[in-house]
Amino acid sequence: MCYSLVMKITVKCFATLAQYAPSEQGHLEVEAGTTISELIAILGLPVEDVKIIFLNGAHAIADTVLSSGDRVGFFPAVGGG
Amino acid sequence: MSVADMLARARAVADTSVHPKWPVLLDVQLMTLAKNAGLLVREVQALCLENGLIPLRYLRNMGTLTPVEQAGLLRCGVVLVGLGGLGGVILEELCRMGVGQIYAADGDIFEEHNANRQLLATKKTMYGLKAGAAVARVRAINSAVEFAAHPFSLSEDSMQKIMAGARRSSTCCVVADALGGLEYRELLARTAAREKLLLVTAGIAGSTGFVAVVPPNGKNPASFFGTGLAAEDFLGSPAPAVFTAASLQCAEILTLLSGKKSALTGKMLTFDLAAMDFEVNTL
Repeated sequence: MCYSLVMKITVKCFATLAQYAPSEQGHLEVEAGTTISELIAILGLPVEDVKIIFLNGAHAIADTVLSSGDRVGFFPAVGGG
Repeated sequence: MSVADMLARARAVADTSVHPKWPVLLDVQLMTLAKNAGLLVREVQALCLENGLIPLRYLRNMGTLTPVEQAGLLRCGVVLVGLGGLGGVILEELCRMGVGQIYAADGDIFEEHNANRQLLATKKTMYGLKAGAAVARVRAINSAVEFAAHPFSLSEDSMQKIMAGARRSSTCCVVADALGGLEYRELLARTAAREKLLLVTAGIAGSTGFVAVVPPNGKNPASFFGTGLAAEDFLGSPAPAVFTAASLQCAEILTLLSGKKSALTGKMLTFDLAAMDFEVNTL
C-alpha cells in the first residue's frame, strides 16, 4: 500500500492578504496532515490579519487538518463602503 | 372617490397599446387618481397592480416580478443605514424597483474623496448633507416612494426608533448595512437583531468584497473583523467593487421583501473582481 506524503490544495488570499498567495492560481503542495494553522505559517500570513478562514465553502477553524484537494480561503477585515 | 371608482377610472384611462398583455398607466395618471381618491400614490400603484393594471415605470420589472409581487414591494420597507458608496447605489435601485418605504440615516456631508464611488456625490451636492442629496434624488426618481433621511450620527437609540417605526408601517422590512468602516457595524447588527429584522450587509476593499444576509442572532461577518484598521485603509474603495456589492445587496433585499428564499441567509458571498471570482460560503 502506498500513501502520498504530499497533497495538493488551492489557496485564495483576499484583499491585503493577496501578496501571500502561493501563486496566481493558488495551487500549493503541502505535507499530508498539515493544519490550516501550519498553512498560515508556511505562507507567512500575519495571523492577526486573518479574520475569517473558509474551507471548501464553509467557515473553518485554524486547527482543522487539511485534505488533498481542499480549497482554503483567507479573508481579512473588510469594511469599505 | 371610492377605491372601486378609482380602479374603474384607472381601467378606463389605461393604455392597452403599449404591451400585448398589460394595460399600463403613466405617473401623471396615477398621481391624479391618488389625489382624487385621497390615497398615497404608492397605494394607488399597488391597488392597480393587484387588479392587473401596470404603472408603466414598473413594466420592465414584469416577468421577474408578478404584478402582485410588485404591489407587495410597494408596501414593504427598508431601513438604509449609510448614504455613501453602498447606500447611494442601494437607494437608487430600490427607488427604481418600487420599494414603497425607505428610511435612511447618515449624518455626514459629501467631501471630494467621496466622488470616486458615491453616486449621490456630485459637484452640486459637494459639502452638503448626504441626507439632503438623498431626498432630492428620491424625488427625482420616483415620487411614489415614501422616504425619510435622518441627518444624524448613529446611536443605538436612534437606530432602534427608525427600525421600530419601519416595522410598524410596512408589511415586511429589512435593514441594509451601507456603512463605511467597521466602527458601527456590530452596533447596527445588534440593533437589527433586537428588532428581529434581517440585516443585509456588505463591505469592500480594492477589488475584494463580501455580501451577507444576517438573521437575528445569526453570524455577522463584522463580528469577526473587530474595529481596527481594515483592508480598505490600504487598498482604497474603488467604484466597481462598491457598485457590485451594493447591487448584490439589492438583489437580496428584493428577494427577501418578495418573500422568496434568499441565497445568502446565514452565508457570506465573497468576490474578487481582479480574478472575477465569486464564491458563497457558509458562516
